[in-house]
Formats: sequence, structure tokens, C-alpha cells
Amino acid sequence: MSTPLLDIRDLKVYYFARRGTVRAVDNVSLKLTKGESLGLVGESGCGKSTLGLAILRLVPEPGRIVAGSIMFDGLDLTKLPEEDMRRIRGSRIAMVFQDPMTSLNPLMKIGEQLIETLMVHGETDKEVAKEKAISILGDVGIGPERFNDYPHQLSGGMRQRVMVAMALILKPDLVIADEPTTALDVITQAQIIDLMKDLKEKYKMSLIFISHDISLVSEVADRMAVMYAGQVVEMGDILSIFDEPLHPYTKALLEAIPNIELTDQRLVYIPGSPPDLVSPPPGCRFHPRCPFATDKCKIEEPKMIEVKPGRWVKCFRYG
Amino acid sequence: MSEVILEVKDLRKYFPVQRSFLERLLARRLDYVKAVDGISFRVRRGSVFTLAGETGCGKTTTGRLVARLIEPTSGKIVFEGKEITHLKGKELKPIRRKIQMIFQDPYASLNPRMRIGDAIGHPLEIHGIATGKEKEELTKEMLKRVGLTPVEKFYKAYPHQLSGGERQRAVIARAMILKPDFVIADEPVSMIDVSLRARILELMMELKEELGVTYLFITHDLAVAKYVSDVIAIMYLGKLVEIAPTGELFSNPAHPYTRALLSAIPVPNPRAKRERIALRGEVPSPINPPPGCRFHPRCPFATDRCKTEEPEMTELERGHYVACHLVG
Repeated sequence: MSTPLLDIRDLKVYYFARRGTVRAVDNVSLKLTKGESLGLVGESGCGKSTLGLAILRLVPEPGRIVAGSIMFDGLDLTKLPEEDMRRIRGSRIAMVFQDPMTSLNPLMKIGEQLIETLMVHGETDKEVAKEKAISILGDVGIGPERFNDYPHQLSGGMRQRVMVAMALILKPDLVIADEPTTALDVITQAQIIDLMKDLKEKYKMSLIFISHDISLVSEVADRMAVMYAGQVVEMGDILSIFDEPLHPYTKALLEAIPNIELTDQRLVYIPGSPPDLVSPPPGCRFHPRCPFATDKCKIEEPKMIEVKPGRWVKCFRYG
Repeated sequence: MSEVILEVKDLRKYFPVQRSFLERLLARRLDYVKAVDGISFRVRRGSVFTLAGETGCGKTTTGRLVARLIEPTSGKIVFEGKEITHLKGKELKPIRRKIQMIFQDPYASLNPRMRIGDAIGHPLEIHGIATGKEKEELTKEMLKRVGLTPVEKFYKAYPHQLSGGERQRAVIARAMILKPDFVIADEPVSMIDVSLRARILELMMELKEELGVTYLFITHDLAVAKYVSDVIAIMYLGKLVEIAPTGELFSNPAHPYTRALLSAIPVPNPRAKRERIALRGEVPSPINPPPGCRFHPRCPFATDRCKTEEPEMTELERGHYVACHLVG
């Protein structure tokens, strides 16, 4: 395997809230190679969004990266001065958020916002910047007649296309997309997903796709990491996870989603609910909801082990 | 086949567009959002009838009209053989007992200052069914039935002490305590985490069998619709475009919009072959919907006739209706 573009090791991101320390990301390690797309899956509150923000060093107060490293192309992002980090954001690692209405400046024409991004990152010629902006809008399916529109003049789907254009305009190596289609209707969602897949190939970038929707991830990702209660519990090639999920949580999650390809499907559910990350259960965090939990699971935390090349799981059933 | 419990005939709901004072002075006519614009359907007792469609198609407004929470602009709602379209006050009260509603957001649909036990038991008092000790017993029975145990703890709890899944169980308990005949469930699981969704759906289906409830299920999620429904109606821009038994709709979708919608649903299978039907543009505004077939500006098969003449609902097969000039 070639050297990874992104190598996260033992990362801990905690929120120091008044009611206690929320361990949102607790000992997460993962790698991403160039050109690869990784799906980060989990339910609300599992820490997947915090992990995405931590890579860009954008974790909001009172959150902080407390331990671990994030190696990106040879640089440890956790140690970089803020000034250098600002240069990396946008130009080398870009982000697409869920809600395009709050991520775009409502008082600025979309074309101007794209030009500004280029100028801030070193473009000096405004005419050149304008050409680039028109061209990237074309790539996301927005015609030049929309260049002078304000965000409120666009539909939700078009705004998200603009967000994708903003993320891609500086040709970053890595795009982190956090629930980019959750606010959209299914037909628009499909259009945005297809667009992101095409552009990922065209620009040869890597992608981290964060979603609660495992179906959507299966359309986009080459590899998948499943998060539960602040930790990655299973990781591997998407086909092998769908063919043979190892962790009891992954298995249950796959059986909990309705599939229109099937008839007379029987859905399963996981008893209980995800833990409060101020005081997660001891041992394996999934043990209170796990049908296979033993006494060992209640006291000892399983390690992430590689059961076969590239296939990782954090469960005592596999060693 | 069982009797028809609900019949909706040519139902319409127009909302006037709010304007600023200056615009009101200058504008000669009032604009309306045609949220629901002439829909008709029938629901059989004991079945699950689903209204499915994208944001803004009018499915929630339809639910609220049927629940008689808002006044229809025109059309008829016939429930158990009796027209209830314009009933008011005293006449409406017995209907309120028979038709209950489950809302999407379990955080917004419970009074934060009311204990769970009081919230669930309240309808019993309102409808004069039970008070005091009897009310408490019935409420506790219901709590137990929806899995909010230990009952004593949940009876005294406030909504903020419950998780999203637990709150939705409380909302279901409140709707079911009156043993209604008809329950309108508007996106009941879309705010619930994936791992708990199946349990909520299962609970709703168990209660349907036990109490003989009929559901009008409203959802944007066709995978969930397929899982629970007997009949699905697809809505687009205030109109129904297709109604069919669930199996028939998925195996033999007739309307171009239905086909595009089905092809866009993500499937939890990385090997799935995805052949999407691309649509032009986006859903137009319901203020001045396109003439003729409302779907024609986006339809890959639209002809000149579609631009001027509105298609009628016609029956393709038994129970399978479609409104399209190109089929039937």
C-alpha cells in the first residue's frame, strides 16, 4: 500500500462542557490513500461530524483535540500553527456541509464568493479568477447566467451544487462532505451524489463522506468506517463489509434499514439507545445493546484488530 | 374486501400568499399557494395507505385536512360514511376521538411542562372517558404497551428526560389511548435513529392489529413506505399522480415521475446497478403551477397535449390508478 494521504492515530477530541467531558472522538485511528473515498457511518451523536471537523481543526468551543495525531501528506495537522492551517483549509482540504443556506454568505453573489475564495488563496488576476469560477460552476451544472445570483435565489439543490463548486475550486487533495444531501429531496440527492462521484474522478481527489445513511455510503464509498459512541468499531472494503459484517453493531445496522430491492423484509432493531458520551459504559461501549456480550465485554475494552488485510474490527469475538 | 373508512373527493387547500403592505397596495389580485389541488382517494378499513412525495408536494397538508386541523378550500372528506368536511365544535368532537395524529418531531409534539403520564392521560379526560384512578390505570397500561417501562418512572417523567425514541413512543401512546379508528402518522420515524426505527414501525403495526386501526401514513421515504404500506399514493405539486398496491407500484410503476423517484432511492447494496431516470430542472412553485400536466416541464416524454390538457386519473389495472396521457 502506498503512503497514505491522511493518517489519523489515536485521536481524541473532547468537549469540555459544563455537565462534564463529552468524549466525542475517543481513540480513533484511520488511514486514507490518495484518490480513495471513505464512508464514515454512524448514528447521531456518534462523533462522526466532530472527527470531520477535527481534521480541519474546526472543532467548536468548548471542544479540543486532546491527544493523537493527524498526519496529512507528511504534516501533523494537530501541531501546525493556525496561520499554516488556514492555508491548508480550502486549498488542500475542503469541506461540504449539510446546510448550504448557512454555509454561503447570503449578502454576496455566488460568483463573487467563488472569486473571493480564489483571491484569498493567492490568485491575483480578477479576470482569471472569474473565468475559473464560471468554469467550475459549469462543472457542477450551473450556467453562467446564474453567476450574479444571490444564494436565496437558488433552490436547495443548486445551493448545494455551489457548495460543491466552492469546495473544488482550489483543487484540494481531500474533500470532507458531512451529510451533504441530508437536507435535499431524494431526486436532488441522487443528482448531487452522481455529481460528486463524477467530479471525484475528474479531479482525482480523495473523499471522506460522512453520513448516517448506510445506503448512500454504499453508493459512494470504496471503504467504510463504522462509528459507535465516539469510536470506530469496524473498517474495511465496502463490498466485504456488506457481504460479511463482523461487528454486531454493523450487522444490526445493515439489517435495520429497509431495502426496496427486497420484498417481505424483516427489519431488526437494536434494543436500548446509544450512550451518553459523558459517561460511556466501561469495557466495550456497545455491550449494553449487544446480543453477544459476555462478562469480559463489560470490563475490558476490545482492541481494534486486523482480521484480514485491510479488514479491522473492535470486538472480542474476533480475538 | 373491507369497507371504505375514508373517502376524499376533489379536495383542495389554497393558502393566500402573505405580502408586504406596499405589494398589497400595488397587486390587483391575491396569489395562492395551491398546496393541495384536487385530490381524490379511498382508504379501506384496517389498511395502511401511504401518501409519498417530496418536500412541498402537499402530503402534510392533506394529512392536516383529513384530521380536520385546517379548513379545506373545497372538496369533500367522508369518514365512515359521514361527511365531515365542515363539521365544527360539538359535532366534530366525536370525530376527533376517532381520528388521531402522530407527528414527526417528538421534541415539538409533547408539552415540555407536562409529565408524560399527564400528557398521555389527558385525552381520556377531554373526551370524558376516565378520570382519577381509572385514568391513571389506563395510562399506565398504555405506557407498558408501548414499552415505556418501568411504568412508574415514565409516568412521572418530563419529556426532556426521555430520548427521541422514547418520546415517539409516548406520542404513539397518546394517539392510541382513545382507541381511535384512524391514525394519521406524518413522518413518524424520520427523526428517529436508524437502529430504533424498525422498533417504532413494528410497534405501530402491532397496535394496528390489536386495535384494528387504519393508518394514513405520510412519508418522503419510499423504502419505509414499502415496508409498511398496503397502498401507496405518489403526490407531486398538489396532485396525486399514481395510486397502486405496494407490490404493484414497485414492480410496475407507470407514471414517469414515480419511475424517476424510484430510480433515485439509494439501495444498501454496493453492487446494485443504478440506472437513474434523469429529470430536467426542479419542482416548480405551487403558486403558479404549470398548466396541463404539472409534471410536463420535467418529463422526458412530454408531448404538446401534456402542456395544455390535464390528465385524468384512470385505472390501469385493478386498484392501480395513474394520471398520465402516455399510459392507459
